[in-house]
Amino acid sequence: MKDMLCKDAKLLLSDYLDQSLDRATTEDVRAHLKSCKDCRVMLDGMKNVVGLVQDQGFLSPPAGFSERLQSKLGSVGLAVKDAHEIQIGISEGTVPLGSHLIYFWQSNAEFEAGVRFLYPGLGGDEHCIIFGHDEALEHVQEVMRSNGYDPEHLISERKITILRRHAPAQQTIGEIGAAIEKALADGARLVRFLGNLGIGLAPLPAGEEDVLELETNATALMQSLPCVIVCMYDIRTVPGRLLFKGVLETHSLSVCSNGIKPNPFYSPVHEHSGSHHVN
Amino acid sequence: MDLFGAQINLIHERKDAMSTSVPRRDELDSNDVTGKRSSTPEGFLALLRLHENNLYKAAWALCDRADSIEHLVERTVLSLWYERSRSSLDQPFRRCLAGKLIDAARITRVSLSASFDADTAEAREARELSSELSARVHHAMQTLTWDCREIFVLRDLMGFTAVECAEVLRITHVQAKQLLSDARLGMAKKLSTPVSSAAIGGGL
Repeated sequence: MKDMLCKDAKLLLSDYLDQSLDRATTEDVRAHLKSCKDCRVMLDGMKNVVGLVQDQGFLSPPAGFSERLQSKLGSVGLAVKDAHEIQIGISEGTVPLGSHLIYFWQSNAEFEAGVRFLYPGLGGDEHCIIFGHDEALEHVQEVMRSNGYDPEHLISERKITILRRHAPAQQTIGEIGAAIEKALADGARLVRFLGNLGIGLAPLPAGEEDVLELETNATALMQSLPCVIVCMYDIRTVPGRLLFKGVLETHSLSVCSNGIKPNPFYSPVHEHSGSHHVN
Repeated sequence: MDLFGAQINLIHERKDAMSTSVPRRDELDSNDVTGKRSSTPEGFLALLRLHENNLYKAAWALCDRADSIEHLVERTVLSLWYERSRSSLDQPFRRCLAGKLIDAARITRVSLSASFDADTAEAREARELSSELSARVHHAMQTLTWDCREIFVLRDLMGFTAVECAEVLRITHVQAKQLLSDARLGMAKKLSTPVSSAAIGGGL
């Protein structure tokens, strides 16, 4: 048995509490605790905290919590279980809910084809969200008008939502998530999300790295909601680095006039997400 | 003895007298099926009822605003349901729920201002129900790094082992144990020092 220093003992207290140390180390810690009041106090503090938060009576949900949750699930979420795939609209074929697709364009005709993603969802029980910089938002609405749709009427009917790209990724993801959830709460069966993330007349709100973060978080968000995203990129203006890191690596599928194809450059979400934040 | 120490004594006394009226971990695990039971709405909701209270507690620990707790719980449960409706769960229900909670908390962490929810009556009631003790504990958790906070929630509020915590957080077992040690030490230090009422005013 060796004498242990406080700084070493403190690092082992958590494992000692969980009884996950080997026998020899346990004895060393125990011996140290016998003679060190500071470490005993620290261990007691840990025990108190853990015991407190584990106690069933420590914190109870407010009255009605269970009923509200069950009611919300019953009216919104659980009804979606049969809607597994949707028509992509841009080409033949369907994609499962939770899909995140790229669509590259460089001509007006290709842009208009991309907007076709929205059409199967209009007039029914789906909701469409159109996101991007100002020129793209206006262009999408012009295309819709030229194809017989009335965007202003659809907005007033809460069939579509327009979201401007104006903020950094984290705030934008929050706004997107809130818009999707509002649409679902209003009765939409699922949501089609058409994004234009290319470079517009205005600079990117927070740079190219921010686009990577936005796309990565969008993938994670989509996997948990009854939603499909198509991200339209103008390949004439997107820088190469953004194209590869922010676009090709963050979308599992691509769509073009020939159909839907898996994206071989896709890198799964957890390899992107900067999950370990430090306060 | 300060309020924290007095409350601890009360809890220990109550524990001795309390009958086991809540599901034990082994009972919860025996209901964690990945098969047919969770694939129907009724089965899913039945499983969820077993974990509702713990889920609320964990969401409370991960939120910084009272009016976002139920929103986080809803998002967590819905995301698990959508996944379950597309394919079988590859892990026990409880662990999948924890993973979704962590993911949802990370995504919504800085987006609470974009929420459409107003300050609801339920949120106000939740704040009124919170005791000074829980506010102190919550205030202490807010001083942890996010990594430490997440593992403290998983290990000590939700009861996962260190190995399970590492899997949910996608870190190594060694990293998980280190984070847990930091979290518990941080909590113990913070709760051993008196906190003024003004300082805990921002807690839940």
